[in-house]
Amino acid sequence: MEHTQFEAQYFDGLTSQAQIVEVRFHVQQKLLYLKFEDQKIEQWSFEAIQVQEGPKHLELRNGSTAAAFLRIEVSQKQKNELVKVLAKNNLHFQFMQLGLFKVLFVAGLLFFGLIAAYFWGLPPLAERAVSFLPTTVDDHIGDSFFSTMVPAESIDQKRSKALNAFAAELQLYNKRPLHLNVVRSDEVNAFAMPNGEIVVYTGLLDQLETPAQLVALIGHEVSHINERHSMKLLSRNLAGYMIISLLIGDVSGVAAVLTDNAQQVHQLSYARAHEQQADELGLQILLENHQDPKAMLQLFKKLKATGVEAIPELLSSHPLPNSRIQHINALILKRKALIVPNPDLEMWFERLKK
Amino acid sequence: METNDLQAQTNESYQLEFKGDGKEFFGILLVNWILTILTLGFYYPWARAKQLQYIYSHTTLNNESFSFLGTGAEIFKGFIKLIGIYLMVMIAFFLFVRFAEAPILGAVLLYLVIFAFIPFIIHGSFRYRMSRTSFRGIRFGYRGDRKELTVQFFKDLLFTVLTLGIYSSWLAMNLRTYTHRHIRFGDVEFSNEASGSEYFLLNFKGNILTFITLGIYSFWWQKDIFNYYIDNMKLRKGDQKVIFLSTATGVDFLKLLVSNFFLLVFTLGIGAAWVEMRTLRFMFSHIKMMGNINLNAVSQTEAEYNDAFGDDAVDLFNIDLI
Repeated sequence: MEHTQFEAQYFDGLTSQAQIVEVRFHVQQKLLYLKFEDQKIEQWSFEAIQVQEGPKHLELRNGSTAAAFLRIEVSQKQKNELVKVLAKNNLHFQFMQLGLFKVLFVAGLLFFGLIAAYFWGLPPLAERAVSFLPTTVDDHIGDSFFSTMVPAESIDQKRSKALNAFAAELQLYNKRPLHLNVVRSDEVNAFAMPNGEIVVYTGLLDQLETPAQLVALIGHEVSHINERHSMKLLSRNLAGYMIISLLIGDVSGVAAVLTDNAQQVHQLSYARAHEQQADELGLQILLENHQDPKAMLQLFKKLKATGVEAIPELLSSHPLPNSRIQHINALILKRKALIVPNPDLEMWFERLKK
Repeated sequence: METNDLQAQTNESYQLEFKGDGKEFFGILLVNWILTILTLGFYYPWARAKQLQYIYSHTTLNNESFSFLGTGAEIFKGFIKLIGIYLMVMIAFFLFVRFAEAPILGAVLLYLVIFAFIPFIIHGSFRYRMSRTSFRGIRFGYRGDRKELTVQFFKDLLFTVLTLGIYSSWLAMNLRTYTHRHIRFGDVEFSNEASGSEYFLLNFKGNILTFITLGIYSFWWQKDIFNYYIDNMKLRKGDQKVIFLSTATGVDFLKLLVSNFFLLVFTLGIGAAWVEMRTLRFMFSHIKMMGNINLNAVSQTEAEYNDAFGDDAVDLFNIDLI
């Protein structure tokens, strides 16, 4: 390598005609000498030389935008040696020197690290991030969705008033004002929005038999709002997409589709954790308000019997798994319930049913 | 026939080839991917430059490589500029919606602004990419006029809207011919004879036959489009010229696209590197050039790209002549 000499083609950047030159690498001086046919000699410093690898040759330029260049036919071994000397400061070339096997290993490590971060590191971090967000953000997002999802004319004003009066009798541990709406629809559904709006469809309301069942429903929905579940989901999705786009880089569309589905499956299981938490806190609310905790199970049965999806939640719904029923059942058996009839609740419930 | 004339005086031979190797290219993509992640995405422009360099230097004409001389730093600047513009536009849009309380008007204005940027970006991309492409030490160049392109684009866009999209064939071909006719390779000029009406009929036929044959014709449609693109390209230098001819058939496309599909699916996308290489190999091996321009006697005409040009250096679109 000390005084490697090559015969090379030189293109002067003025015409496309090639000249034959003699090229000498002087590694110690870090200089490259070009000897032209007319015996003229030019020298390029290694620092300035830009290298491009072709299939069986290297292209060397004196500066990155120079049109003139040298084309040297080299073997794979010579190519590696020259690149090692000339592309010392190039991150990419250096990495490539490791060999495909080591690079693959690093890539694999990074890939699984990101996957691990995505499944285990991300959810708690993203959830914590929500606590730094002011609740005005919840309001803003809730407000913008509410008007499009619930047309004003579909709201039953009279029954909504009764529902709000019913909720006012309850201790709900809400940190923000609540606003409940009865919406005319056959759907057996209810949902909560981050801005404190709760929507109960008449399809579900008409099936409720006791005030306690309504307390169970409200308790569940309020817990979604109290725990800022939809904000947590949003935060987590945003962070998830960031990691995914990093993962894919610009590899291919197929990978994008696959990871997109993975994201959805993962999100679903994550939303289930939220549902369970809302069940538990809803049960707590039932107990604190001295209502029959079994009302929660009765509510589940109603939803299951109609064949419609589970206890509803913001923007998505899933089948009601038996595990959720069993979970709540076990909790009820553990807790001591003090049931006290509440005539005010019964009065508002009667009015609501009309 | 022009073709016969040409054949009589065809005294030069040209061989286009793509010599990229799937494994090598995969190595490059892999290193790019690692560095992009470790730098939280900031390496992306350098990764792009690296990828383009590989593709260009493995594309050969008569065994001589093309070169891409762009650098990551240049592409990075272009991206920063675009992101800046994008943020400004979005902020303006949100402020408008917030204070003017006219979301629909706001959205219409937003789309107009985005459309207005398209010709700018096309112009910038061509200008940058061509100035950074060279062959045998001779630079390519793009000499189109931004204002002319913008006026034409908006005229075509208006017709496209008025004809409910039918005119889009003309829009696409007008863009194509305008940009191609302003490309130079030293003192060799590019030209393109594509026309909107031919392109429209080709797609019309493609659409209908694909529908009738339940999608099978789509490979032949793809072939028609490819051939139309290639067959309309020409090079000219004084009275010398080179014409391009595609030799691809529908069956060739069927084999390529079906095998690419399986290669992608069964490798969960990792085969993308190989897919890209074999697609390029396919395309270049099906392009025939005939004519009498001597590739050894092209002279440099395009000035060195310097920072004064930097204003519109963007590398957003993949500028493929094909």
